[in-house]
Amino acid sequence: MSGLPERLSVPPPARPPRPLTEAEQARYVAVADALCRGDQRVPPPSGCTEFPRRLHLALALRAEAFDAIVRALAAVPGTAEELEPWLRRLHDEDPAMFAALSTVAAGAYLLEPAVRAALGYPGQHPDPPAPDEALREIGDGILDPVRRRGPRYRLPPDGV
Amino acid sequence: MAEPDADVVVVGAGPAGGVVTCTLARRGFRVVCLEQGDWVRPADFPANGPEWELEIQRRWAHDPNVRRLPSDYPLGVDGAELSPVMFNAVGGSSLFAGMEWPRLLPCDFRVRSLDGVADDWPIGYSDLAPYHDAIDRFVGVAGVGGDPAYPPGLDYPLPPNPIGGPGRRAAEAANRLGWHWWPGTNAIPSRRHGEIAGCTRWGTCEWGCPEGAKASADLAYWPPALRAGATLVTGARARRVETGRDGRATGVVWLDRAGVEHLARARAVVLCANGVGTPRLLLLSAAAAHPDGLANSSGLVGRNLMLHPNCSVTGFYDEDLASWLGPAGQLVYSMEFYDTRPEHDFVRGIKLHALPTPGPLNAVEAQRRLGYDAAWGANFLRAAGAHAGGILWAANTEDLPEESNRVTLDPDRSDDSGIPAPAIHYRISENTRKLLGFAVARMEQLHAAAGAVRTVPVELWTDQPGHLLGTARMGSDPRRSVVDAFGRAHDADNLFIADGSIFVTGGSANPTSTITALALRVGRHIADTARSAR
Repeated sequence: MSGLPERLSVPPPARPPRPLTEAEQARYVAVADALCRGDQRVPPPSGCTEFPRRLHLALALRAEAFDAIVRALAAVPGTAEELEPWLRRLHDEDPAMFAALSTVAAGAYLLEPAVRAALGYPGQHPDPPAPDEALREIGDGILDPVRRRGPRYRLPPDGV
Repeated sequence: MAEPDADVVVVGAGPAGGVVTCTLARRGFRVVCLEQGDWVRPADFPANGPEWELEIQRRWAHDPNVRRLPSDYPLGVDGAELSPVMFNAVGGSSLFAGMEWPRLLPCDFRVRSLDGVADDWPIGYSDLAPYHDAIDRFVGVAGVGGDPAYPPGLDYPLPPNPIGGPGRRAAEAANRLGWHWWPGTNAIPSRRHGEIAGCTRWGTCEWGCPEGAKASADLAYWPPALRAGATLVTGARARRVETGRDGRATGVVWLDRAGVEHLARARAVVLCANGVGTPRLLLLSAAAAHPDGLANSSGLVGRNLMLHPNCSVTGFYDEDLASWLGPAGQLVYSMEFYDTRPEHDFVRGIKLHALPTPGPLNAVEAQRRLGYDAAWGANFLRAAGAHAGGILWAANTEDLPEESNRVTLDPDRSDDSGIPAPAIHYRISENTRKLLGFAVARMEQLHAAAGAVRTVPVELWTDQPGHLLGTARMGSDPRRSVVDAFGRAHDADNLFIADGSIFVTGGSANPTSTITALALRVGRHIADTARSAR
């Protein structure tokens, strides 16, 4: 190969600069737990066995933010009590950093099938409508008020 | 002159380039099209995977300065309040467009005559209507005829797509307010149409359709163009348009993927590189005979950039509206405030359109601007769950042409082939600011009438839309325009422009429908007049 990109208009395969260390991953799971709390239907991120793998994927897709996220993780406080106030401060004082940190955490968590099921999200998929669905939706007179008001365009002096 | 490589060289394989190439190739012309990107297949698009919402944040972002694919060139936006967006590939930005397909209205062509601002077009609504009709039949536009916002006779070849739960709720609200609305007109076939599949409601039209079910130029125009014998060169970066001693175009110099320079010689050149890329190329083509750029004796190349500044209000409802379903694509639209009204303190107007809100991460991202407690911690699942009951009302505003809003060559940036990048200079006018504020207030009103439980207004989308217009305007007066009414450059009679650059004013209708109708008109004109031009 010449070193030229094979695809010009498609991104290359995603990969993070490196895997998170165990300590970084533990901090990130704690951050994710604070940001994305579960409820009685679904466990928090730390209760999802596949969450670390999904976090790795999410970091790969936001690889440009990896270094900044790792720097933020290094500053995560050591106790659970301090974590939420720290996140709120980060939210207010460094919105770009908070955005990167939080979207990767949330994006990974929202890949969990149980979370998606609890949210009623089937994922994007083909769902062809019934042949008469469109006309049925607008065939009950909902357009009548618009039609009754009549033409509303303005013609220029020299006509159409 | 040596025997040319082609009758016509087209630069850019997006909607305009696809239409022109297809039109000329089917008329028997030898056409070579140069495209800096390459093919993207339906299986490549991000929505094929569950992680699509993360993919679209960077790797498949609309903004080339964020996405930074090998096909992209940088945009200098230091002097701009908006960052224009585009996609560089076979099919161009139509790969990422929602394919909302409204036409301009009659008033749009006569803004000077009617409102005393900007300029009139040298053509009118009825001049373009037959070209619109031909394009609509060719690509399979789906919609409902008889919209009273338009003159009589407007109809579409395919029945509409469903408006879904969000569209129905939006329409009921418009009825409550007594406002115009109409089911969405989209170049998204409601059943198979030639190469294009019927819509299966993936809902991710603006990030590529995995089904191949919208009339992006790669599907609608390129297969028939190639069957008709056109040559498409991908990975080809146009460097400049060459001219002879007589000032006429002789071809296009381009660089291949390895940076090797080539010359594609032709009897005529058609630029379809969009409202940023086309003026960039004309300015890059400066020579001793035209030191300020090719076709620029008016000084207007690059000027009068119009971008349709967008704003939106997303509403969330306490009902499952199945808001992950497409098309997206406009479900419904409203032209209630499209035109100038005497009671307003601004001229011209806005087009409103309602779309679904697919994806729970997108719902969280929309609500993060409401504050920490709106999206995070104990409220995270509620924020994410709002995806199912969302309606996005968005607006195009009509920004009027201003010469200070322009594209120039960036002295400090170049693409990775060393070609100078375009610099964008764009300031939002006072009139447009009023339009934006007015639009947000009206969209809040629509959500209130529909019973939204919370709304998220965005008063300016700084990275949308990809409506790049006006930078090589058409007109009858060579002192006040770059091309004539058929896209022919006043300064070089075998140089044509067929993309959004040639708009005189922008209206507020999504422009791809008009761009393709104009491109068809330009292409047919070139074919009809080729003999005399030679």
